[in-house]
Amino acid sequence: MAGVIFKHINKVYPGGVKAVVDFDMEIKDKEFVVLVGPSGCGKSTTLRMVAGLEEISSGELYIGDKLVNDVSPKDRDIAMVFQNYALYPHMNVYDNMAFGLKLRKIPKAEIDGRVKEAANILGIENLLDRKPKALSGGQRQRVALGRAIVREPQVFLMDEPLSNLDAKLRVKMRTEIAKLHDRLQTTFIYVTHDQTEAMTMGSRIVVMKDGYIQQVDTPQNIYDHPANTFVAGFIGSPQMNFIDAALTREGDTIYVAFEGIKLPIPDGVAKKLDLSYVGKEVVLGIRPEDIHDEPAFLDYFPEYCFSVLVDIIELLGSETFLYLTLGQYSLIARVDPRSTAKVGDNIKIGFDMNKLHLFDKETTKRILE
Amino acid sequence: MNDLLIRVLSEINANIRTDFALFDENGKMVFGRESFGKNANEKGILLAGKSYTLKAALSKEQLEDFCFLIESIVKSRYDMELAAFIRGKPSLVSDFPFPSGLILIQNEVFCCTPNDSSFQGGDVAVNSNLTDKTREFVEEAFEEGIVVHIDNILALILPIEDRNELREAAEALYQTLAEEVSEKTAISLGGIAGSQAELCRAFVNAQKALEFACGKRFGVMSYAEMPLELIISQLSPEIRSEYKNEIDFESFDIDTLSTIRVFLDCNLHIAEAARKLYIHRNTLIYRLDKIYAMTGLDLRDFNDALKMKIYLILHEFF
Repeated sequence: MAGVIFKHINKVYPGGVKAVVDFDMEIKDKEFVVLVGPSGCGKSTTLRMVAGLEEISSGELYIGDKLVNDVSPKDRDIAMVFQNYALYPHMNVYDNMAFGLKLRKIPKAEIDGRVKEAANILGIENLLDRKPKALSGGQRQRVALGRAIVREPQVFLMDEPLSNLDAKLRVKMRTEIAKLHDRLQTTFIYVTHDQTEAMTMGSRIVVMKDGYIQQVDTPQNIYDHPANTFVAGFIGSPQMNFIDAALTREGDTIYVAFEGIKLPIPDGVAKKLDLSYVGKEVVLGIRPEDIHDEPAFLDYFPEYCFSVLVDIIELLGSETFLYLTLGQYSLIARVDPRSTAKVGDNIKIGFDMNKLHLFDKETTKRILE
Repeated sequence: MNDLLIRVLSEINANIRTDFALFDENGKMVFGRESFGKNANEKGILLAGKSYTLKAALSKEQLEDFCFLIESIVKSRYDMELAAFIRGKPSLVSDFPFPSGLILIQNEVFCCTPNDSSFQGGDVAVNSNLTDKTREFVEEAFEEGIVVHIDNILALILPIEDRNELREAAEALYQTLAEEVSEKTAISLGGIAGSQAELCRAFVNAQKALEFACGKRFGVMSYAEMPLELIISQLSPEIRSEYKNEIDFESFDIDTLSTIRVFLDCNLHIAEAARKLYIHRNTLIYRLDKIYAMTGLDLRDFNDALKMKIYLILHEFF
């Protein structure tokens, strides 16, 4: 087992395109770290540099305590799982899993033991004689995982391994991969563009954009304390609502003002605020679930309430999405399915100001501690 | 392909003085006459990807050298005859296992510069030592396949009749070669051939795709899926340069470039592209509007999308 240390890693392609810029972090032994971001953000390139499939332009990469910049992929003691499984169609499941070990001239008895143990972990013992074309997508993905497990690597690298599966199977497999990590107790680095996968699987998430790390933290901290508007918008579905606003002070109270509305910021939140922003323009962020239309909230916090127009209502059974218009802004609220709002109504809503997010308008960085 | 092996061995036998016999894995004699005395020795030998036992009236040391010689000669003659057959030229091959799937494999280091002087792919060195590792790996992975070395390219012929299966084999080969042998390759699908003429055509087309991608694109590619790229490569450098700078891609930010690529890859499907880019569809529409304002091309319109695709190919490959 080993951790992975990135020391100011850069990847610049010929022609000058910077794919990864100053990637600097330490992944601890046995951690499950998810790299997430939109396409082109550099997450797969980062993973491929760990795998040795992409050269590192500058910086140092350690697996365990070994500098691996110039170590070939086969000597890095890593195993990779790709989205397209990479299974040989003419080999059965057993041979596909055993192939890498045979190449390494590992004794037959040991190969047999490792393949059967991995098959047992993945619940595919009864599939060992089958060819890949006789397997479902989920079973193929298990075999791909099995091929990685038998190598007993120090680090597992997974590049969008579930993206070829249908939605239902993806949910099932992501639970299984999380369980597999618990069982194997090995370092996992997992790349996805799906923020739900990132939130549910990783012990830590690395959010990337344009080659830069935007934030590294636990899923909950990233959700509750996004470092900038990009992270705030990327993590969470439906995404956070953003409104251009200004901070003002009247007496001891700080207000956030937008579209002719002025809402007081609770003292507990105001204490975390960089007061130099008072009198300046900021970006207000509020998650859809922190917008309320239920009478109890409106009665209890009248100072946080104002009127909006209901554009669209989406009933999802367990919850309802209200698409609202406030001046030039469109907002999404996730409310109780018993909501009485109707399309075309002007209704009262309230922001849960204890869940308020504020960002610098220029730098887009979070300004609440 | 046993026939070819026997013919090659007969040629060798006619030119040397040492009598020998060859036995397959079941102990059946496949070549020669067993008329040796008690002094005969035997040794395992790998010919055309299969294991045999060679027996000759030689000392153990002499037999070792003799087997090495036979292996080398067979390998080179076998490659020569098969290469000629694949290229549609006269050859000793008479029992080629049709139908077969053809895959061509080229290492990063083997990339060559096509004749076109404007082609910018010639910045990679040629080093033929590395093929041995790749070849050994390919032979190990495909015991039932035939591997031939043709001009810095490995041709792999597989007993596969289904195109999808051939692609799966190629994808698996690409990824495991990178993982196990640490070699970056370009793999070109030749398709399924039912005759020598079809095999020859498949080879030429697959080779064209490799030449085009040389040093600029890796992974699995298919001639059939690259018509635009290949048509553009046939244009004169003057015509290409006329259109090359139509759009200044260098001035675009990463978001804009990835939006263009992903939207085109998703066949102009807004929902699919938005999902892949992980942005809201309205954000994608906003970006497409921005691209329209910057370039005058509305990518939602097929004709404009086609133009953009051509400009992108010119930007990326020429």
